[in-house]
Amino acid sequence: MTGAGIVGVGVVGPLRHADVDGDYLTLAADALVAAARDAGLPRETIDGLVINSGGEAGPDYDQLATYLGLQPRTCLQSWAHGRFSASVVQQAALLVDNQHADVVACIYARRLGTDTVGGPAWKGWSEELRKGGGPHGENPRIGLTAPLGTAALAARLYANRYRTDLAELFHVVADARLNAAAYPGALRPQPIDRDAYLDNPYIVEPLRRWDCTPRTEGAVCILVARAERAATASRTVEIAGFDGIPAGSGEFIWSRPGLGVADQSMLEDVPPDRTVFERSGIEPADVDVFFTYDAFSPLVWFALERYGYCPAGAAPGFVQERGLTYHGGFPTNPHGGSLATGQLAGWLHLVEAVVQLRHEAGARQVPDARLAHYGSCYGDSMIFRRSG
Amino acid sequence: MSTETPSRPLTLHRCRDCGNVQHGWQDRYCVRCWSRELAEVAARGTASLLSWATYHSDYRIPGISAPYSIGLIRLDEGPQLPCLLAGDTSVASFQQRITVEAGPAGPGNLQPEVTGPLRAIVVRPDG
Repeated sequence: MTGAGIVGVGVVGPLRHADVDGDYLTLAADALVAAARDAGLPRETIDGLVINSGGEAGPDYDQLATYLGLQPRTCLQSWAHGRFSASVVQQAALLVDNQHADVVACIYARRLGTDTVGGPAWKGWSEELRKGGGPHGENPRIGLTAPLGTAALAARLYANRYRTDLAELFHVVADARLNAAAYPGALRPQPIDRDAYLDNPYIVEPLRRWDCTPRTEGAVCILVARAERAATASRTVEIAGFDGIPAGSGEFIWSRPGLGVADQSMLEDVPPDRTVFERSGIEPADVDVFFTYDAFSPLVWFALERYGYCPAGAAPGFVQERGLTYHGGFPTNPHGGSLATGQLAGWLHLVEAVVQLRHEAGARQVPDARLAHYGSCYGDSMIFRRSG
Repeated sequence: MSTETPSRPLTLHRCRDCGNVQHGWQDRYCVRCWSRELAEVAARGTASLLSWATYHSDYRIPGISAPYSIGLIRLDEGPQLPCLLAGDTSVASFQQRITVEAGPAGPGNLQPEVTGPLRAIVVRPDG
């Protein structure tokens, strides 16, 4: 249990490239101003700033502070990859909990240029040619480019190991669509049937276009503070516990331990990752709504198995039987996730966790949601609790 | 596959202290015992195929255009690495035995042959 909570959220997007008004600095500023208003906090109270994706991908901490007239006394900035979404919020919680800051603004902003890393027009390949492969295992010297390439390898390996029909990914995609239908502004809210899914073209076989998130832009701000700092303390969502992003030979960004991608051993399945539950004092069965990074549909299966919601190899059946919709047996990404609503890394998921626990989700509200778990297949994880 | 660049064997590193074999790019420290006594060894050139995927979209890599296939292999020495697949991928199967060739460093003419026995094309970490 930490003493920190989320006191305000602000979102711009997700938007198609052509629909974005302003550069990434303006997007970030719009999100931050919205979050401050949501929390009822004046600008002067923000004394911490943690940036997810600076550099060429988004605003740097000093740019944004100057642009908005902020005076933060503690700033941090992570590698410009969306995988650090939960980690950024965790850093903010540590700052607050250790009294290094009172109110920390966590920022993610993204605009897609013509040279987005791993994208179709990327020509630099600098990250992809680093030793050991790119950030998602890319290696353009053998034609392995785009994050989707290694996600496809992971999906096929899963099917090979567990004798799974990858057509069962349909249930992940279809349930995301049903959730997105209740999210205003979702980019893929149309329901699909199995035949339509199977007719959808491959991008990197065995994964189809609909197995991949649409490419979108936008910004998110999450304000982390002690609950009493917010003018609307009753709407504060507690951060009950977390686990940071792991690394090493047992981990790969588009997998879970024990699957066998990259350098992972696949000699035997590994026990579920229970760290976040032990730190939060809860059990997986206590979770009312689950959130997971779903840039590609198989990642949902991998995450369900990582955290022990089902055994290794059982996720396809689990999803089909329980259902992932907000009114289903295992509500997951009730906002539609990246797959159906749009890609703002894991940030929109974190905001939706707050909205669900405030009971402000409207038609897509998970009934009486009190505990939410954000956990990616690659291991960063957080438990949120409704106040009161 | 281009033959303009001479093929050189894929190299791995074996720890002189504990015997661990690791990727060529892990060339200074033994990942198991932290020894700096590593010896460069040539890979035997045989592996098991763990996974494969076929690109149906181009990502503007000079010298290669879709469709083409990539793979994930486990070398008989232990390390796993991705590869370009040459040959008929329609017959690919899990843990199929596969030969490994070190190809030319790209970008270049990477377009693989799509007939004949399945082969894994890998690149040396030093190009």
